[in-house]
Amino acid sequence: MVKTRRASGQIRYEVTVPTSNDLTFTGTGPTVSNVVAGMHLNCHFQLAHIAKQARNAVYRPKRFPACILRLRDPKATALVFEGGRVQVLGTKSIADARLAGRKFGRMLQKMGYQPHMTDFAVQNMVANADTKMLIRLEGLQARCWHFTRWDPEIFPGLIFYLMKPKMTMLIFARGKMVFLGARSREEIDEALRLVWPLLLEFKRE
Amino acid sequence: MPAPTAAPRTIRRLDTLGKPGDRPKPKPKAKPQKAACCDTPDIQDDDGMKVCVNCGTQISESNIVSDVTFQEDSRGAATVQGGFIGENARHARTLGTGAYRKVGGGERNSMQEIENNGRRALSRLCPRLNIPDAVSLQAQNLFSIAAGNNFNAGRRTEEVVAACLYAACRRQKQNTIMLMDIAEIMKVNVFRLGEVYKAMKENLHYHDQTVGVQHLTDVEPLIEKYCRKLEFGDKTRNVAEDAVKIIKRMKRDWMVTGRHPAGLCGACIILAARMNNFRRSVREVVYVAKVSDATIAKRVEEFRQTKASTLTVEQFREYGSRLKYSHDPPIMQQKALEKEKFEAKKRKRQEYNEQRDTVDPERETIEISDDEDDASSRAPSATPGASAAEEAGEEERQRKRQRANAPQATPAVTQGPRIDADGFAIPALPVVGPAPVEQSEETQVAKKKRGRRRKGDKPEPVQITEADLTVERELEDEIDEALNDQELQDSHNEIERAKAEERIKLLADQQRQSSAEKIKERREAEGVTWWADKEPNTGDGTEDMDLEAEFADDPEVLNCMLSDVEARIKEQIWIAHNEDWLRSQHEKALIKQIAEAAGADKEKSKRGAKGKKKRGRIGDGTVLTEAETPIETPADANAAMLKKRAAPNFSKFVDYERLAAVYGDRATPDTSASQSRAGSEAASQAPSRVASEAPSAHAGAERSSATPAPQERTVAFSLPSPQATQQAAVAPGTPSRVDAAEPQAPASPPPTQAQAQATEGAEDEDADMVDDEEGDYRSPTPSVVGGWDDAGSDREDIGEDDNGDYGRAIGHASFGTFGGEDDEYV
Repeated sequence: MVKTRRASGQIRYEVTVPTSNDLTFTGTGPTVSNVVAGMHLNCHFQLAHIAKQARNAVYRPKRFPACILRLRDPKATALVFEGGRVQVLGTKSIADARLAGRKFGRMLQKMGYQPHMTDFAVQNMVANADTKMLIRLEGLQARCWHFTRWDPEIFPGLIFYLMKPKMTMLIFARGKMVFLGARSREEIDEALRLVWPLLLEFKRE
Repeated sequence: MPAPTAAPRTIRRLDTLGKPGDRPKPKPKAKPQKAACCDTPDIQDDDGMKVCVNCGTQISESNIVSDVTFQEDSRGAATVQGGFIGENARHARTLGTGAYRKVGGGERNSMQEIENNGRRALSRLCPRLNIPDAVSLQAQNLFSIAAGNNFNAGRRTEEVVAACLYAACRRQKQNTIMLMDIAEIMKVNVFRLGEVYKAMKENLHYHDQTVGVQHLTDVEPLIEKYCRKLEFGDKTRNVAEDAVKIIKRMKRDWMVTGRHPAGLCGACIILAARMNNFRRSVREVVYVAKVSDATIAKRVEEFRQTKASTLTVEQFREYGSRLKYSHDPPIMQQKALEKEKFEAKKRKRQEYNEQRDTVDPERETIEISDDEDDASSRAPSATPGASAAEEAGEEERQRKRQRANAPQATPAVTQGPRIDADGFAIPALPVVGPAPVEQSEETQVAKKKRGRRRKGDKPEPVQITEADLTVERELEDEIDEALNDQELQDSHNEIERAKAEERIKLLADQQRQSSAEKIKERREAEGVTWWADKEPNTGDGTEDMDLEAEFADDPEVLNCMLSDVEARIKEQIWIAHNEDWLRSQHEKALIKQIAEAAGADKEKSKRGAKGKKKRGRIGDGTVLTEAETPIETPADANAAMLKKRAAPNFSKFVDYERLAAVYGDRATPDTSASQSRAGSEAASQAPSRVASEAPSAHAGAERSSATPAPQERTVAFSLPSPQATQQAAVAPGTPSRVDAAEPQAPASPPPTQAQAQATEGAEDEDADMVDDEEGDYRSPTPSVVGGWDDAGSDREDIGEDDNGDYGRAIGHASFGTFGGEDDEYV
């Protein structure tokens, strides 16, 4: 861990990673397990009306101010808000999320609305990976303490905060990893590329 | 040196200002001040003041001095002059600690107060955990920083203090204080504390070491602590050492990383205690380590799976923790075990299926009706490769089958000791003669019900009894009836129609699509391909037509709409579920509408021109009314109080009628109560004429002035006021019903002669309760009527002679003096 102070007073922490010949990822994954995407359909919805008409619709205004629609193919859930905002949850890829959004749009169209999708944006991606090796979390924590947080009293996994791309990883002693807060598949791959040498450093001999 | 440079600069600046088009250059910050006194300022420091030596102008003066001065008070005691400004304080506390106590209930300097609170909470917490002073001081400082960062805003002080204390403890290398210990003392959820702790680390820039390096909690000191608590006497050290050895071994076997330390310690201590011939139960350890017994049991079990656990105590002590071999983490072993189990199961199922498949064709050809023979024919066909266990299982199955068929089985089959499913011997079945046909049939039927029917089984001949026939006939009748039922028919038809419509729509869609494709092909053949440039439905800007085409054949989209009947049912369910929500929604909308209308009115009357709401305060009597606006006059407050508090318990010492006269009937406690009371009293006390007239007079009088008040005061609700409805409910049939229909202006119409008489009569009845001085009421003078008018029209009058009127109204001796004072009613 190298700490440098810039002229602006900003403190910069860096972790230098050893470069060796073979740094290819040997585990499985990362596989995307959930994509959350938001979009705007540019029309006002009457949620009660949707709830009454649609087949897979749930609207419980006392609980949550959105109508919940569900799809089987691609498997997705949508939260339709009154103002036209739609959140698509639970899809396995960005393409699926987009397709699901369009499909929900078509369904709402059949119910008599004029949806017009804009502002499609991925808000969160969750991915899993298995490094297939045991990792000494104490060492990792000591090595890059600025980026990690590990309190076995509170949570067994080590939380790794990446600055760029800005996302979070959970690393478990057993070698499984969870990527959180990514906006694209590339970010996940980049994060894994950055962390992989560190993990190799602290794997069980 | 500065003189020549300063002079031209001032001139130049004036020049640039003089030019109209030029942009003024940014001023140098300190210069204008410097040039303020004269052309050649020469500022020098003189005893804290800054003085220009050239012109003598005093530029600045510093009142802050670094030396401390003292002052002597009248008794000769010396005190320091001035005040102390704390690190985070905005003001000096010149008046001492107690100065603000009485004014606002707290100190003016809120930061100081917060820190004091924190210190107090900490001082409550620390002694119970035996925390050294150095650590608690660190915690205190952390709390000050946290408070300075506004971290305590929105969180309970106790929680923040606990987080600070934990952080301070974690700064120590040999920390034995767990979050759980603090949480237990404070009686809050550990995870809540953990949340606060994590948030605090983030908030206080943990990584810039404000909080300090947070060491990981070591297990060894923790073990020592727990051992001391468990009272091993002079063996404490030995037990702790053994426990540490075990934990080292566990570390090598990857049982420690990521695990909660307390659970591991618990397991180690139990094992170490047994190694030293102590018998500490899991329960005892649970109390000390504060983890569940299941956790400890699991850790012990995990340790049992390792190789080190097979060593003897002596061996383990000698080289247990130095064994080279290391296991995978327990979770991996578990997973492997599970996988193995699953594989075994799978294999078994596969084998069984294979067996059945090989047997089945035989069975079809042989056609043995008896199950027993069936089983025996199957047994030899078991695959020779099957394991011994497999064969045993097969035998077991066979035996079970035999047991199921016991009534039919011959005694020869059940020879030998019978064994049940758990391997226990059970007595042989009694041998019975051939059962009656009916019975056997029943057992057969019972048997049939369980499981699938096998392919080879022949169906039993069906025998229909008379009872079955009657039941069937009844059912048939019911069905006929239902079929003839018009309503059911209608709904059925509707469903059919909806289905047909959907089908038609589907067909039409398909046709349209195919024709569109045909047209497209034709156009393409002609050479028109402008649509090829268009991106096929991947862009964001989705158009209706695009969507329609894209999901034209998607079953989910096709069936996303419910049919009319279904939709109606769903609507009913939805409405039933959300009835209260719909109601509240509707109410809100109505209130909003009314408020808007009222707001428009208000604007006209220019009272609340900007919709400014008068805020209520404590003691303004807002609690007495449903409305949110505070009560304005004492009279109103009295009226509200009487209405809310005195209504149910009607006082016989209060002349409500008179009170009503005084307060323009806003004071009537509860019309129905007073009315019924008056009526009943009149009925019981006075016979004939008065009895019939008194209640009517009450009712009439009240109604004439009671209703306008709520209309005037509570604007927000359009609902009929409860008073009015009550009256309508209570008063029907009374002679003064006509009065109720009259327009109810604040100034009530002058009562008729009959009414005046009635009032008089009523007062006659109450005369025994009225004091002597109030005898003047009895004369049917117009002043009483005038009083009514006054009460209705002008409230401020009431406010002025409030006391006197009140004294009159309450016909009690103690209030007599008030009544005597005013003469205007005489």
